[in-house]
Amino acid sequence: MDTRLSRIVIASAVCLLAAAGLFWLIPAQTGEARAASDISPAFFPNLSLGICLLLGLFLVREAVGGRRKPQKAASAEEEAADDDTLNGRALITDMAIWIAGAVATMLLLKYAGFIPTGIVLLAGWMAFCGLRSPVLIGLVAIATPVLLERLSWYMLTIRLP
Amino acid sequence: MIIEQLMAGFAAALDPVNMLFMAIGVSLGIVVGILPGLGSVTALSILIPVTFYMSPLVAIAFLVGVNKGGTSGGAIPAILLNAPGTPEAAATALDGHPMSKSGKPVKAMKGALYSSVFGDTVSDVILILVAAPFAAFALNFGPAEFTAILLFSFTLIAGLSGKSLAKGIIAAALGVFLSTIGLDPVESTPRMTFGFVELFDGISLNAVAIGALALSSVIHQMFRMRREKGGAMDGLAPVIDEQANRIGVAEFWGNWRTLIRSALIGSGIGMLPGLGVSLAAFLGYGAAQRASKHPERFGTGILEGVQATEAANSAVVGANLVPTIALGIPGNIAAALLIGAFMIHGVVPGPFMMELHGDLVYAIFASMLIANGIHLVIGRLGIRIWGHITRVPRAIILPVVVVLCIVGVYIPAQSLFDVGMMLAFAGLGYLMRVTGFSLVCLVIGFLLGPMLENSLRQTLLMYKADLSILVSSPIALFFMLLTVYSLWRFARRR
Repeated sequence: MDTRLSRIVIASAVCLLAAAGLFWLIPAQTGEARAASDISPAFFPNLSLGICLLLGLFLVREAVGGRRKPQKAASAEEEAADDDTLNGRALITDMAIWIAGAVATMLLLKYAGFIPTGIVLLAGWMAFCGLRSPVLIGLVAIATPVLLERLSWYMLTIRLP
Repeated sequence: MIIEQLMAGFAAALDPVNMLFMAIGVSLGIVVGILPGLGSVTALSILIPVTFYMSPLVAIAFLVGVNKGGTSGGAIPAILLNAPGTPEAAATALDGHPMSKSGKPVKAMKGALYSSVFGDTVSDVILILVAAPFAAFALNFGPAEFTAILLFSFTLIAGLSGKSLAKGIIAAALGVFLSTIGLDPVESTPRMTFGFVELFDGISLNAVAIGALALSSVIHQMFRMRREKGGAMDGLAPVIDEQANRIGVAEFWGNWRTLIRSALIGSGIGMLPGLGVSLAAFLGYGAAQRASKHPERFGTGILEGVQATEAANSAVVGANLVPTIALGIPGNIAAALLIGAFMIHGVVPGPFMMELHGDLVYAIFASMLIANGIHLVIGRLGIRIWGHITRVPRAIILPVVVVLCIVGVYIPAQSLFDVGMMLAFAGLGYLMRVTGFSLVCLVIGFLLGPMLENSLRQTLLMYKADLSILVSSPIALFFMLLTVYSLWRFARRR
């Protein structure tokens, strides 16, 4: 993911989002301060997105300049960014799958309840990860949500949705 | 005098029923802490009604056990799955998970447990020795002093932002921005809520922390497995070498400076109301990194990183009882819940508590020290069980964690909205993770943002917009100088 084009796209996206927040979201969704000695309620949101915009522009300049030396991940947290198996298309596919999965999860939780959602979710993700044993998938997918639902009720007296 | 009272306290605390309930409390705390989203606060709020029929000493000792277990339990999923169960465990994951990946999960868990018990014991001793004078000193901390401490805390981003400082600062600024969503703390006008009543209280910390830190890591691992088309039946860690997972006394105590520094940082943070366990964990980690001769090794899987975090976050547990017992002011939400438990049992925390219920207070102190021993034994037994999790195929354990995250975020507020927010933050976290933006910095910004905004705005209102208070108050000046020094050291190193 660490190519010149990807760096330009990422930095431009940061700038666009920060600008949208600064010039549209915050003015439209934040009120004014009443006390003269107090700072405006919009001060902190503006300050934080202002910093994002400034540093986003800095990242654009750095990416367009292309002078940045490739660096190895400094920590394990950064290893994900050095994932060679991931490119722009794969990332868009991953995000589309996640958004579709998240929407389906919310709809199922709301209209079908926790146990059916848990079964579908677990079976789906286990198959997605490459597990091919129907017995194992069935066992884990059914036992886990049922167990969690029972534990939540008997130990915490909380009904899952 | 203290020794005599403490001995009498031990005599009361060593009652078998008291010890049994402490053991149950620690075990429940660890189990709840392991579940993403459910930390010691949730465990305490659920279990307080269980103590109605207990004696005051047994009840408080049980709840203290829950708090201790809950604080250290979050480290286990952080180490094994890179899915921190609680925000404070995010710092543990930085070095704990790489240790696990290199075949040393048991060593990382042992290091976390021993450091946690060490930090806890130091803070308990501080509580016993200096509860009253330190609580009085803590009263000198007003909004200006808190502002200075929080400004200093933001310098942590420099150390945790990795290879791109700009991306680290952007992530932290985004965290601050997200923390401003909700009702304005002074004017009470909605900010960026889009009319959603659920957003008036702001975005849930659980939703952000579990979604961005834990769930995003899990989905990254699942998508990677899918792309690499293999490893479904592999365990979480490679074959565990018994020898490599041992911690010798010399190895553990080789980092004694880090352990003591972190325990003192955690105790200091715990004594100041409102700062919280997560800040202690990150400050402990940041301080160890700054003091190290090899700061570049932090984040790559070293024991010192795990020790620094766990000693600091566990040290908050005892120390937050300092203002609670001496002044009746809760140091954090867990302490506020403990005040509730005290009052249910007819004990009112505050300046007269030592005088009116001295025997009970010292019995509680003794129980806290005993609970540390119990925590060590139970935690050590538990590591054997958690060690087996590393053998479960990744294709089973990762989807189960997705479901656990949903349950963990739903239970505290029983809100589907929070579950939806968590799923959204998991997507955002995944995007940030693969594009090199630090999620730890995002969470630090989210945690510190509201505290800084509140204290700065209180300072402005109290001192009529005169910010010179930040350099005229000695405590604030000390932290401002520390901030400048940290930035100067960081700039020199770069």
